[in-house]
Amino acid sequence: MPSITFTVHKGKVTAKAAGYKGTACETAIKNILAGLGKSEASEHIYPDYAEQELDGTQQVEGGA
Amino acid sequence: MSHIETASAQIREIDALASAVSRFAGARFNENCKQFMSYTGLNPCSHSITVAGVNYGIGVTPGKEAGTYDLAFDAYGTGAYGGHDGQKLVETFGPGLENLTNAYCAEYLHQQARSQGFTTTETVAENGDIVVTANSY
Repeated sequence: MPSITFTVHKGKVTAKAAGYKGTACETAIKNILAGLGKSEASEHIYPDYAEQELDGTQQVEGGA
Repeated sequence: MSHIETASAQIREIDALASAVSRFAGARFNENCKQFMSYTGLNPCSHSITVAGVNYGIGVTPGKEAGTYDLAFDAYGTGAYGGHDGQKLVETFGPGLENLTNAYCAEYLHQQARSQGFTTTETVAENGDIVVTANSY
C-alpha cells in the first residue's frame, strides 16, 4: 500500500514515500507539495528498500 | 514607530489557514476583515486573525507573489500598559508565529492529499513536529 509521511518542522515539510514503483512516489509527493511554495526538492533513493518490494523511497522538502 | 514583522510563511490556501487558526484555543479567523491592530493602531489587510482577550491581531496581507499572502503582526508589549499586548500573540502562536505556520502546513497537506484520493492521519511527535501520513488504497 503506497503511503507518504510528511513531517512538519519549523514551517518546513519533509516527505518520505514508500510502496511506489519507479518515479511515481516523487510525482505523488510533488503534486501534494506543489502549492506550499518555496519548495526545494531533494531526492534520496535507498536501494535497499527494493528488496522489500519497494522500488525506493524519496524525500522532498518544501515549506510554507 | 512600527514593530510590525512578517512571519516566514507564504500562504496560498486561505481555507487551510482558517482551519489552522481553529486549532488554537480562543483564536479566530476573520474573513474579509480589513484591519488588524498593532502598536501604530489599525493597519490594512485582506483578512485578520484575532485571539479572544488580546488587543493586537495578525494581518493576512497580500504577498509579493500573486495569489499569496503574508502574516503580519506586532509582537510589542505584554499588556502591562496601554493595551499593547503583542507578546500574547507569540504566546498563542509561537515565536515568529511558528506554531501557526506549522498548523497551516499540516492543514494544507491534509487538504491536498485528500483531494488527490489519499486518506490522511496526523500525530504530533514529542519534539512538537506534526506528522501527516497519507495512504493510498
